[in-house]
Amino acid sequence: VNPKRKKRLVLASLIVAGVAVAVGFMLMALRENINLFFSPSQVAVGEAPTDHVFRLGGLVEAGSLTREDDGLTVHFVVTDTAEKIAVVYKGILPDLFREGQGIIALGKLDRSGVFRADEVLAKHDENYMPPEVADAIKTAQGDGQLKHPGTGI
Amino acid sequence: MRLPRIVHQFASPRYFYELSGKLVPWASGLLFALATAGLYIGLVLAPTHAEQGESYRIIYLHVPAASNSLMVYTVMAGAGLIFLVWRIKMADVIAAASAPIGASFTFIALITGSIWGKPTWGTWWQWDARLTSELILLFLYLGYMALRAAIEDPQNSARASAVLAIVGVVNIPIIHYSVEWWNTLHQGATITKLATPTIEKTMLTALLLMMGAFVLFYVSTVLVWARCKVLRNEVRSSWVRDLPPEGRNWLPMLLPVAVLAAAVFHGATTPREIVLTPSEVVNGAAAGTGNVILQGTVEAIEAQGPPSRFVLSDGQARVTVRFNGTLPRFFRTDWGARIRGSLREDGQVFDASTVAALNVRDHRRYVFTAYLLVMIVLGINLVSSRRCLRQARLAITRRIRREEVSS
Repeated sequence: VNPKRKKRLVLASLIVAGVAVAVGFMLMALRENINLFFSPSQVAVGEAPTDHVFRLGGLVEAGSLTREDDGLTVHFVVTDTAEKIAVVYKGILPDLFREGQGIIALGKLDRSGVFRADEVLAKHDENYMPPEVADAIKTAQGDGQLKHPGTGI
Repeated sequence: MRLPRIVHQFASPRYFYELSGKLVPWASGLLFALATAGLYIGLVLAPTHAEQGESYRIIYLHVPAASNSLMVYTVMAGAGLIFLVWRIKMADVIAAASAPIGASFTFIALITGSIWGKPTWGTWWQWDARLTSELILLFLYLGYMALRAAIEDPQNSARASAVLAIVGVVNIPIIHYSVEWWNTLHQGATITKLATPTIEKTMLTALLLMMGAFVLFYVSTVLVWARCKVLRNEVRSSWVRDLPPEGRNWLPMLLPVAVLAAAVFHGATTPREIVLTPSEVVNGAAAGTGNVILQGTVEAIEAQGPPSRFVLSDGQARVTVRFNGTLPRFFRTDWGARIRGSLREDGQVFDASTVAALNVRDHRRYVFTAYLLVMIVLGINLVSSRRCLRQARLAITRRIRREEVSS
């Protein structure tokens, strides 16, 4: 082995390893900032910055969606199957919003513990199925949406 | 550490130039063949996505571009390492030639993702870990190209940019695992889990064909860029002067022509399923035709079955549908439905044999914009790489002529 080449190879590997470790520490330190949203459980144990605006992520609980008479204001419950948070939102919902869907809401908790959202986004899973198949799979799984890893929650 | 023999063979600019000259036409021919097949299957044959509707067809551009943006960077960093350690000049040429293509793929991944995000997530952009790390990848590519351009001495320029490429490799696993390490808006991977059927077969076929096409696009374009750079670097070598005029090999272009002909034949001989709207049914398009497909928005659910009754509308006309079964799980008002069935003789009520819930929104402008943008970006790569090579050849011819005149 050419010693010069070996030295250069070791040097290059050391640089990459050093940078990887540094970036790794940085990402660990910034972990809370990199996470796009907090789950209802995280909010319950006080991990979320409840004194200002943050993002809440979870599934829209089945049967919890109600609309006010103005047609724009909606009430629903976001759950991660362990904890629940009631959400109020006035505005246009994304097309994929429905009960059982994973969503991310940006807003603030009010004094009564209700999350007042300014923006609601819909997540979608990594399954690519035509309508007939999707219906068949969902029916077979029953309440599969809640346990599905694809919702990210 | 020893490199495989082929690397050393490739390291000779002359050998590389001759071999790549034979490879490029075949890679291009195969690329267009795969792309034609992929686009026909993906845009014509593949079914609609239940939740996302037609907007999901952006996947055939987005996923290949995104996965190739990582692949190209890895190749670029690997070539950088080979250059730094073994001082093989060809490796630096390949790394430099990869950068604009990788940057284009990253840009395509970001822009098509943004166009896809609007109708599905409800936002063009979020500072989510996946999106942000992919944006950093674009900056790494641009930084690499800027660094190369900024240092005039070719040796220093090559060394400094190789170090940057190698250091930036740390971002690659971050992009890949971002959706697992952090809470993100972006969903997890579909393709790595082939064991479980998370994508329908026709969609998967089209996606794999398009991934192959993108890989071949990289291969053929990087070779053309590299050939151009080799000619520029080696202007003074005698083998460059003795190069025979290069004829064009059109034979590989028979591949895409054959695939196109097959697609046209298949399209012409396969009976197309006609999907009717409520307006067309009201105007009598379904009268006496037997089994038809009807698609519209659910306006009201009158009875939860069996038997079920609901009203389908398209904003102008309404059709009442009767279905002797339970409505599907995600069937709801203000959401789309596709039914198969026939119109009763009175012309008022539709009898459905199957009912499926799906997204029927019109996403054509999103899909069209995404495909148009990708054509433009890839087209610029294709044209500019070929022009670079043509001009390098012209420069050599001129040089020879000038020397002949002066002697």
